[in-house]
Amino acid sequence: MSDIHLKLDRVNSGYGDISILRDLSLSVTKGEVAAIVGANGAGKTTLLETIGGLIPVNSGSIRFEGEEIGRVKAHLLPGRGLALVPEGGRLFPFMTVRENLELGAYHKDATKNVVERIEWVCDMFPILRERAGQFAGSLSGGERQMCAVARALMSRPRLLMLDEPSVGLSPLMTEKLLSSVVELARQENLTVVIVEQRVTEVLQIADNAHILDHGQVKKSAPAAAMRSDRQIQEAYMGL
Amino acid sequence: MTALLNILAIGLLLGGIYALVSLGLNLIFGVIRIVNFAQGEFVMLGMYGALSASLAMGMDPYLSPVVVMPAMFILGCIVYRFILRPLQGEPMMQIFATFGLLMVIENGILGLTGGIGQNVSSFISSVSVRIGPIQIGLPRILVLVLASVATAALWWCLRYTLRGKAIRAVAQDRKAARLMGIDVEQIFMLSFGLGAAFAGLAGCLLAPLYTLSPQIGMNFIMPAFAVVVLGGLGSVPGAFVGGIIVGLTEALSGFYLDPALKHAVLFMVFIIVLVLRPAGLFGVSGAEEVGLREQS
Repeated sequence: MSDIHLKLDRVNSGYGDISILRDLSLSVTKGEVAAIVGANGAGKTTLLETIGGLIPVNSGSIRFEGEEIGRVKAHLLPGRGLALVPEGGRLFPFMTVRENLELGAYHKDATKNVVERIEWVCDMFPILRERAGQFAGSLSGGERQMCAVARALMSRPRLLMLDEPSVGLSPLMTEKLLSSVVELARQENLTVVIVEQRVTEVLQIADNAHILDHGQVKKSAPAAAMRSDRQIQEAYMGL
Repeated sequence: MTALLNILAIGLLLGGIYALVSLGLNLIFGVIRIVNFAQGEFVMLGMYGALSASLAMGMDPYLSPVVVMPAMFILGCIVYRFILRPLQGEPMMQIFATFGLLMVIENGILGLTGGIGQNVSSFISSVSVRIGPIQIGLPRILVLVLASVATAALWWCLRYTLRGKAIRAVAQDRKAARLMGIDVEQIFMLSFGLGAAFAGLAGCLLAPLYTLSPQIGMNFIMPAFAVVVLGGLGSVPGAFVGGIIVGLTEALSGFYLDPALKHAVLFMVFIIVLVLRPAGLFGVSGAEEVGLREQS
């Protein structure tokens, strides 16, 4: 777990003239589950969307597997091994679950063995098999998140980014979803970056955690150390 | 009874024409969310394309889609790439640009032809078919049949091919589509090109039925807007059914009320449907909002 898989170096990005990420630097090693925590407006979603190519990098560098991806267009990144599950999942509501999964394998390197891949993600989330012919917009909150994660996995990513996967889910469903993702990460040596408001839950499954504040990484440490840090408990875990 | 059957047949066949013209308009609006005011002019260009193919190569207008559709597809791609794409993010400006395009095309053809009406004939132009008590011209039947085939083909492609699914995905959520690896700009260009190609097809099939003039596109564009809204924005089967409804409404009101009132009646029906069912007959409630999701 020593090789750096994703490295952000003094990244600045935002919307138009408004800068959200300010000289942000961060490293994630291969196979690591990294949690990004912070208050509302700290820049967590902006961070994921900048890595995912949806928000342009104004300056600095983002390297994935040693290659610069900071200026690569969003639609080319699934082909480079990155997948982002946006907040709320953003499934295509008037398409079936199966069609959503098929679109997850849209980029040319993922179009082979799509049927087998769908079976594989359905083994992980069996409810999707039952809902395969149903419009994604008719799924419950938990099913929607599972479908969104499954759709992202269809592209065979090496880096999976999840933005607030617990939104709208019960604590039990959140735990189930997060543990499935972690199990997968261990099995497939997948690197996972999770942005999450439920700090207690995410620190239990993550290897390392990074606290974001005003667009900068304020602190990085092993998740276990963060869990026992009194300041973190008071500021983010409501203890 | 024979009169009613005749009117219904005329309405149905007119509906086929409107359905064909609306298909491309609906695709462009459904995916790119641009109201293309120049769509009627694309139909007119298709008609002149059929005329040119007939004059230059002796090609029958019903065979001319083989050359006219690819040419219109390329024209549509060029229009999107060099006129509409630079205005992305400014939907009102895009609409004004299509209106400007309407004037450029119409006046361009006016300059080239001097505004003289021209006719294209096909070897089936004078053939008619008797169905029971009514006599129908074969070209009109052909328009209805090919409108049905084109609608079914487009629906099938959107439903079952990966590229078709990508078009639907872009129509529903552009940001999520990008995250799937879909080149949204390329899908926009493809959709606009396809919309123009369908207008070209409509032009070729309608060329033997009308006297060609640079202003003829205006005859189709207003009913086509009514068709798109009635059928449901972005719905392919909706464009077809909407076309038939508009054709029948025009034919029945023109015969039983007054020909001068046919558009008034049509747009009364249009307003009533809009009030009662804003998503249109085949539109999904809420699809409009979802389709407008941007990179927010």
